[in-house]
Amino acid sequence: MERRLKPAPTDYRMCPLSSVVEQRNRKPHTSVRFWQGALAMAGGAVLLLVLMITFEKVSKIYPGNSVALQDLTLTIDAGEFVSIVGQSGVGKTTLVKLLIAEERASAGSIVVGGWDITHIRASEVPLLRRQIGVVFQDYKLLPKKSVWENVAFALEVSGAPRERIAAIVPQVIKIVGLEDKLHRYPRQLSGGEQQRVSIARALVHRPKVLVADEPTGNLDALNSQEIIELLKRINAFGTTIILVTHNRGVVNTLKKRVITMEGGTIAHDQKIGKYVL
Amino acid sequence: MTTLFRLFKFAWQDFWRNLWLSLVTILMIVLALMSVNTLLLFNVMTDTVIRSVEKNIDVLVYLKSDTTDEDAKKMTEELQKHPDVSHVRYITAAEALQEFQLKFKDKPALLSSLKELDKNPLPARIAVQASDPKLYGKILDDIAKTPAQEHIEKTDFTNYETLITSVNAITSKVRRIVLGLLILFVLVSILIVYNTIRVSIYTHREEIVVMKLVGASNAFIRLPYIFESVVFTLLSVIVSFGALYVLLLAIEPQLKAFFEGLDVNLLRYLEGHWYMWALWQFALAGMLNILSSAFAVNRYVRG
Repeated sequence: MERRLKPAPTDYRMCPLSSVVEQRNRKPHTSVRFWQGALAMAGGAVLLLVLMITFEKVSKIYPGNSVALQDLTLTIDAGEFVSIVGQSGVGKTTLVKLLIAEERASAGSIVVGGWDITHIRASEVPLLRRQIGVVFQDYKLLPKKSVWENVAFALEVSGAPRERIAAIVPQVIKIVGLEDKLHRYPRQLSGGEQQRVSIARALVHRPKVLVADEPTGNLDALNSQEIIELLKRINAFGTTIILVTHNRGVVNTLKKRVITMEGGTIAHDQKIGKYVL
Repeated sequence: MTTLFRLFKFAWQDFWRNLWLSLVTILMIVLALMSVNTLLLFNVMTDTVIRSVEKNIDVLVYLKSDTTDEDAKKMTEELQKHPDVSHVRYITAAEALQEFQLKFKDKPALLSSLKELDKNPLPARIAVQASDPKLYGKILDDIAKTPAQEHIEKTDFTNYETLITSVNAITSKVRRIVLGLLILFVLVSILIVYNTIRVSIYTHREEIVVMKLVGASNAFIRLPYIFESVVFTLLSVIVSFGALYVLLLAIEPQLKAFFEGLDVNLLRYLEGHWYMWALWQFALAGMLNILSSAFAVNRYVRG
């Protein structure tokens, strides 16, 4: 049986993400949109109660006794925007890998929305990944697929019907502002545009959590700012954002929770923090 | 159904969008299949030649001059019943003379010396052909144990024994060499095909990782590559047989001239057997490609 973190809204236009499109493209003050917005907010409130990410005394030791994480305990509430900062090799990426079950913890437990994924079975990993959106520094797009196909692929692999794909894909592509580049291939896009495609693909399952691992690492200041704005808008409608970054400017302007890692564990955890390294 | 359609679609897209890689992969499989097919045909050719040579070997049992026609015919019938005898022909003394005259019609001196004799010097004989040249000794031993022995003047087995032994030795050596080469070619072809598929999958390794990251199940990642390898196999078998046919068509006159007098016709053989060969090769090469593909993808799916 497929596990879900929470039942998804039946009408995609009612989910928080579609409101992002409306914020970008339309005037929001009609009665219908009011109720859609209200429902979205109500949905967000429910999510806030149920979707929590918990790392409990998690350690990760790689072969050769290389300790990446050491007794890390962390709780991220639903709807939070958390920046995880730290020098290279302190375990930031390992944290992301554990969250999407790319790696398994050596000790401790990881629970996402009530689902203990510490010892998740290989067959359940695809289900988890369809519910946690991930954005990488190197975009990880499929080079031989167009923008549309890259975004649609994430739905196709989960067996979504054609009609649903045809309805959702244009919406998420609109959210990231690439509606005029649907049929371009990744090599025909700038770095910023490729990262937007990556975000659109991550959003296509309407994830409750979006993990962004150095999403601005390969981008210039302007493109970085646009990506962060996009993440903020997505977060504003209830999606938890976990941003792993080295970008001091980004972290300092966000004025959100900042977790600073050192030596595989948490050195500082500030509700409204700054980049302190 | 939707999923199956998507898997086919991805396989098809991957084939066309990596056209050069697809063509190179097919070319490698075609070369491997062609090398095996060429050797298989060579095997057929040597087999036909050997059979043809064996067919031309027979042992003559010369009958005593007092043997009646009836006894000779009875003996022929007895020999025909022998399990190791494939063909028996009774040649009367008159027929033997006729054959001799026909054979040496260009040597008048020999024929005129024959005319000097007042009677036919050639005895009646029975030409015996064994199903296997190795069995002549046994057949003649068996005849020696029967009452027919009293009618036998002599056999030319002793004269032929060395020839038959050497033909046997050569044919079994040739067969062994061809079989050895065939096994070697098949092994080399398996390695080439396996490696080609592996290289093809290797170029997709990053895509496989991405597919996993966006939540594709292992089966969803594997199956398009497996479908693609079936397409590779099908196209390779068609191309390799097409190329072989054209090649044989081109060298047909030379082959005919080379094997003059022998019943060797590779083109005819290919026309009569290609579908069985193609079916077997499609099944075996397809299985090899599917296994190679699954094995190669597995490495990145698990990684």
